[in-house]
Amino acid sequence: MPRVHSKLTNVTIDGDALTTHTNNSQVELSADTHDTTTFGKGSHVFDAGLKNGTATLSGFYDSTALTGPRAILAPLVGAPAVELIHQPEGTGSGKPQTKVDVLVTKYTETAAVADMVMWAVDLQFTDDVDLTAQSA
Amino acid sequence: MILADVMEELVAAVKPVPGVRRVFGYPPKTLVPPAAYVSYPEQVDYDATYGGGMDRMPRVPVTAVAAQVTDRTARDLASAWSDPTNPDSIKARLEAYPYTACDFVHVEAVSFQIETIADVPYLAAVFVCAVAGDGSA
Repeated sequence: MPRVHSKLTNVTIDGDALTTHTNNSQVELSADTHDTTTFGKGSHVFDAGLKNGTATLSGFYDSTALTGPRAILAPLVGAPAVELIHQPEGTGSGKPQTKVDVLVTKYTETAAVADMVMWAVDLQFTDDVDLTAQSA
Repeated sequence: MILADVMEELVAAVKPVPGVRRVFGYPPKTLVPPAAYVSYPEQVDYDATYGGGMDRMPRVPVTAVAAQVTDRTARDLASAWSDPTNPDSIKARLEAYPYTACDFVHVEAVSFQIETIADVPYLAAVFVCAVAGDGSA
């Protein structure tokens, strides 16, 4: 199956499920580059450096006191790193998964008069990312 | 959200409104005004969040038929039913009801139309409701 619908995506943070509160997520893997161009070259030459990554999640606010996004995410702002698990194709043996410790750098609530209350969170990866597929 | 359950709760929300003699949970074959009925949403939007967490019904019409369009009563009823400052208005009652079949109902607009019953033109106030609630999760 070459294409996958996003409705199957699964997200948890610090062991708490955010899936049913989330309608958008973005995981970004990046790396530094070092310019190692020397004399005699006609184009820049780069070497890969340290890896980095960020993620953003957003969705519909839920007022549930213990399991809503505000209850889960607001206390994590500025707190020690927690584990993010992002499964773009849902759960299942062999399906892809991004597992990484993250710092919650920003939690945002937006209330536009003509729409539902929304939430969003910015995450900074810390240490290595585990891209191992899900086990059985 | 189960469509029939949502429509029945909208009926329960409108029933106490002064001046509404009877409320139907579906478009009836005929009715005796002043009365109201809940009609079908234009569509149900599934999967508003991952994992089937939320579905939305963006436009659910609740129609209240007041009186003959040429009667002053029609104007007075339509005014009371659509007054957002009146706690017994249809808008206020629809938004304040403690729903269990959905998370919330927001009355986005009301339009005033002519509904013909037995060849007689009646004034109808059509309240357009946005509904959101649990999906298949």
